[in-house]
Amino acid sequence: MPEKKYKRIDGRAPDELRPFSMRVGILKNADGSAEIRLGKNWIIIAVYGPREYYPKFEASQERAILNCRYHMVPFSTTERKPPKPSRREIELSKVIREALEPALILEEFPEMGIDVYIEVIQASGGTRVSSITAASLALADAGIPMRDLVVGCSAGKVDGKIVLDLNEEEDKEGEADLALALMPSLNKITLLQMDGQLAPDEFKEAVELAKKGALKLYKAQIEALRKRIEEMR
Amino acid sequence: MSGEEILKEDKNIVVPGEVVERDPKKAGENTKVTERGVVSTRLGVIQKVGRKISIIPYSGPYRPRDGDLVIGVVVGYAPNGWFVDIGAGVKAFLPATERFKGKFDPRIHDLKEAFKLGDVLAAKILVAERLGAPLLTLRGNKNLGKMSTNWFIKVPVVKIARIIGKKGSMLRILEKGTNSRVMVGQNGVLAIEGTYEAYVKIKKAVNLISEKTFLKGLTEQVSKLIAGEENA
Repeated sequence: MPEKKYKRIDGRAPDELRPFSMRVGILKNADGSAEIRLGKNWIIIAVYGPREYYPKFEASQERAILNCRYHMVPFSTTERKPPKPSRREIELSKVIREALEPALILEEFPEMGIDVYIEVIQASGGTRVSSITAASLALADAGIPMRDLVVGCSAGKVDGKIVLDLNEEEDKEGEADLALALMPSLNKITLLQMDGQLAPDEFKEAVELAKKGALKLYKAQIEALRKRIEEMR
Repeated sequence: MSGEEILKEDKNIVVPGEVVERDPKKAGENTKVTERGVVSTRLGVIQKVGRKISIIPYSGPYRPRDGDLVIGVVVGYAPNGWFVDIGAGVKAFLPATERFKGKFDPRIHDLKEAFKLGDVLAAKILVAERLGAPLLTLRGNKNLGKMSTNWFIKVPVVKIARIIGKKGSMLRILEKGTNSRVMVGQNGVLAIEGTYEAYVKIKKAVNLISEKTFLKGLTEQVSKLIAGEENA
């Protein structure tokens, strides 16, 4: 079989992203907000702050504290997900926070806190990277000084082939999956996680592929932000 | 390196991380000098003032600056003054000596009588970059102190410049058209001294300015709205 005929479970090419859309400023109450849809994924982000941080003893005199809360609503998956923050959600909150922190200039807001609320309305594989992509949009919408935007993308190995942007089925059935977050114009990686096993050259291939996908999403990010300002003209 | 290379035109939209200029000497507000050049740190529109290149942010928090006139709410007492919420993320501090003439003596002067919790004050920022809280003063302007009006409008801080307009042109339209007085707090609060009708009209106009900030011919639209022409 020639390689071009390779089709994935949802008929995509190996280096093809799921159809996506992004929107900025969807929530009026929040200081900044954004929404991303990537395949069946649907994630809403609200950013509040910089505002006074409580408890006071945890506030820093040098920089603002970034708080992330990644949460999946109970109906986001086919089986009911208990609303209580699970072990996985707590870990992802930390991982997302650490992926966003390098891009933010938090030193400008000592003794304050920035809250990022991530609600996954519908989940279908790769929610952590999509959350990062949308969260950086919401942070830019809130007017928080940033060094760069952050964009997340995943890659993995399914059926012996390195593919981009795994969906839920591929995530479960595949041999490996790799999550990556990138500051595109600085070309710096802020998050790199992997599940499963990859050979060293396969790993490199997967990272490069995820980077390529991230750059495609980055263009959409810029478009979404521009559109927000165009609305004011 | 060609120094004359123009990367971005005036009024172009930029996102955080975008290179706007190569020459580090031209870095203005809301930009950062990096090895890649001058980079925007905010989402906004480019403004070239003289040789400097700055970004007008499209949203963002209030950053206190020395000399700003702010309107805030008394939210707490200290042994020697008041804490005032000016929406800056940290509470500002107003020393008692600013209110009481001469020396502040807790045996004679009552902090709670001078300003109650929830009172709205107009004050000036004396020192913004101070460890802990920005320092406020009531001196230097006779309009400072407890506000007598009850009409306040909260607006995004980044829209304040547009609401005032070039040399106060937009503000004059608002004041003359409604026969009222508008005090602008740089922290994004407008205090209106006038009738309820004036307040409603100004609120409508301010909403228009906030939504269509970068619109051309905004001033005409606002004057139409104030004059009561409904199609504006």
